[in-house]
This record gives sequence, C-alpha cells and structure tokens, in this order.
Amino acid sequence: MNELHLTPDEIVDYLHGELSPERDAAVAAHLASCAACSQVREEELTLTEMLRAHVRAEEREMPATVAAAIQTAVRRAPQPGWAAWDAAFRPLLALGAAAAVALVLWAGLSVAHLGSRGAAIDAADYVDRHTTLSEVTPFADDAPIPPVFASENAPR
Amino acid sequence: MRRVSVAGAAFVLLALTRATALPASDRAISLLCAALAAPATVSYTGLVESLRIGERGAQASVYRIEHRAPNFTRRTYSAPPVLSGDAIVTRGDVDYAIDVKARKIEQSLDVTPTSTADFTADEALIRRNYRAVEENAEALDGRQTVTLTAINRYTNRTTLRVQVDRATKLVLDQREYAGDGSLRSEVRFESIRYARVPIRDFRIPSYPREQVREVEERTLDTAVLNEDAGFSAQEPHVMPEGFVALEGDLTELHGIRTVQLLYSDGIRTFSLFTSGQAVRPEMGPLHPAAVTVGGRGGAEYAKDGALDILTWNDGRLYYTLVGELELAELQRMAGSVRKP
Repeated sequence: MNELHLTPDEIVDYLHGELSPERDAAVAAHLASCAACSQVREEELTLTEMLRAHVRAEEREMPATVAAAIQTAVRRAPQPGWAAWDAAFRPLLALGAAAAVALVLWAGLSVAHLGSRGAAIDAADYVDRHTTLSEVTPFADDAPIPPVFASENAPR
Repeated sequence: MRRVSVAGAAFVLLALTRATALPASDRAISLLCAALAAPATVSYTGLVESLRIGERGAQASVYRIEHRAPNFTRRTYSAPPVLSGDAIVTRGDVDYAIDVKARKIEQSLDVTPTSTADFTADEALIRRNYRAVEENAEALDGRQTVTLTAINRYTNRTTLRVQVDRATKLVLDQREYAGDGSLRSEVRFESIRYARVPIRDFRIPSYPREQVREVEERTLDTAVLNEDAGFSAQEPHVMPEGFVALEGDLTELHGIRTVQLLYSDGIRTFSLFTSGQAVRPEMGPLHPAAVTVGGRGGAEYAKDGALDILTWNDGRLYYTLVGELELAELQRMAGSVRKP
C-alpha cells in the first residue's frame, strides 16, 4: 500500500480474502474513506459479475469496437482516381458487373451441384476447442498450450 | 483443472445406478481415484515437461507450475521459445492468459469445481470403465511413489500409467497410450516442492485485458443447444464402451455457430462438433487421408499430435470428431450420427 492509494493487486487480494487480518482491516478502513480506491474495487467486482452474466446470457450484443470498425470500413471513401473512372464508365461497368454476377452464379451452382466444401477453418481451432473443454477431465494434460498462444505463435 | 457439468455428473450417477454391482474394494483403483482430488488439498511448485506425440512429430512444452490449493494456479512457460515468459494464472473462478510479448491478457470465466461431489462423478466413471494394477514402487525426484496402470475393462488395453506420490497422492508422472500400445503423451514433474505458495505469486500484470473467450452457453440439454444454434445437432448412437456426455457447448468458430459435445470415459475424451453452415476443416499441413463414413466417401482423417480428427458432412450438417480414439472407432461413431 503506498501512502495515498491501494494498488490494484491489493484490492484483488482483499476481494479474494487473501490478506492477513491486520492488512484486511487496514484496507477496509482505507476503502471506506477513499473514493478512488473504492471505485477500483467496484470496477473489479463489476468485471467479475459481467463475466458471469456474459456466460449465462442468451443473447449477445456485438462489441462496440467491432461495430465501429465495420462502420468505418463501409464509410471509407473510394480513391479519387477510381471514383472518376467509375463515374465515366458506370453504365458499361454495370452491364459488365451483371454479366460477371451471372457467371459467378452459374459457376457457384455448378460447384454446389458437385458438393460445396464451404468455409475453411483451420483444423487446429477444433483441436484447441476440444483441448480447452477436455482439460478438465481427470488426468487430462495438466496444461495444454493455451489456444490464445497456440493459434498465434506456437509452431504446430 | 477439473470441470464436470452438473448435468453430466447427474447423468453418470444415474447411469451407474443401472449398472451391475461394482467389484470389491480395489486398493490400486482407490489410489488412482485419490490422485484426482489431490490438487484440491495439496499446494506445490515444480517444473513440468509435457510431451504429445503424433504421427510425424511431437509437441513439447516446459513450464513452471505453482499451485495454491484449492484453486490458485500459475503456469509460466519456458519452452518452446515462442511461449517463453507467457503464463496462465487461475485465481478462483477466473483464468488469465498472459501474453508478455504482446502485453495483453485474455480473461475468461473458469468454473473449475473443487467439491467432493464433482470428484465423485469422475471417480465413478473411472471405476466403471477401468481396472488398475499397482506395480513396483520407485523413487521419483526424491519422493517415494507407486506406479498405477489403468487398463480399459472393455478392450483390456493399457490406457494410462501414473506415478503417484505415496505421501500426497499427487501424480508426478503420467503417460497415456494409444490403442496400439504406443506412447501418446507424457506429463512429468521435476523439482517438486510441497509448500504453501504465497498469494503474491498469482498477481496479474496491468496489461489491457482483451475479450472474454466467447462461450454462449454450456449445457448438456441438446434441445436447448439446438434451439439456440438454429439446427438439430445429433449425438452418435454408437460409441466405444464406457463413454458418457460430459459437456455441451454452443459457440462460434470464425463466425460459424457450432455445437460441441464432449464425451469421456474417465480418461479418454472426444468432442463432436456440428455446424449448420458449410464448413471445411483445413487439414492440409496434417496430411489428411480420404476415408469413408457409413459407406460414403468425402470424409477426411488426420492426426494432430496425440489427437485424431475425422470430418464429414451429410449434405445438411457438417461434422468434426476430435479425440483420443482410433480411426475405426471414429468411423463407427460417425456412421451412427443420423441425418436429422
């Protein structure tokens, strides 16, 4: 504990009941009189409750950062050169685009008839999901390489 | 860490009430089951070497482990080099995956149980499906141990061999074997020390905490999962003896809603993934082989480390099986998954 405020770790230890009785009492007294540290405690409590509620909830909202990124990409202006060329040749482009769409549809239907193979997902993602869920069965590998690391960094 | 869903535990206990009477007291199997619960009461530190062996190579990792009973654990990786310094810290019911190079933390909820009731369900599965043999005691890292071999009751094959500390019942060495007797994986402790680990060892750095690992819901009720998934995931009607469903999970893999059902016989596990959208697991680096399911072609099989993967579709749903089972077992199960 510094002279003014508690450290975040001390607050987490306090919430987990891991402090000595003397330190626990001192932290409790400090929280009762310090708005800033009390705010940090509330944020830590709120985060844990949010996690629990997140798991239990039946519906999800798209994270705000994802929605914002999509909107930014949609609103991104075309390059000036492309915009001018597009304006001049738009009718021909429209006709060409329609022909291309028709060609793609015809090709797609042909592929579908033969058996579309669908979106490709790295098989490692299935392995990671299985490992994550099964790590809690008896005698599972005590700690498989965590997916957050394995998918990005670890050699496979 | 250990997690058994309430529904899974109830199912196991219900199934066992219909089973034939369990054999008389068995010292070896009792020791094996006692090892399940050891981390709930024993604090320790040590170095762990983990090895998983596949068809063409092996995956290995080395990490220092600190465990404060019952539910504070820190694993700090030293190998492979790309993971060096990274860590996973479990504090109560929260997991923190710490990437020190990227300076980020992925935080997720961990409902790891530590109650006697949860261990009881695990023990019931193992007692039903395995018998254990106690072998010559030997010292490991200065500790007196006993070697226990778990043999599958239905196939009579050795599945697991562990060295258990006689004093603490902690597993110090664990080897899993494939159906052909080859070593599939090994986890080994070194420099183990039993002492209360100070709480400061489980502190979390002040890096940005990124999104929670997306898990929409976890239940064994397939009707509930299917209603939320938007398609009717099916369970296999044929499984190797002794397996029961433990967990059901609805999640998204790269935006594709996927139902995952986890099965276990107490030691071996497998997962069945089902998607309503066309999806193709990319197994190129694993050198997949074309195989049949239910007499029909179009399926693929590969091994990734110690795990086997079989993927196929029935024209409407897309399936992937991942687990510690042989190809023939995977094919029989896949063939029993009926078209909805």
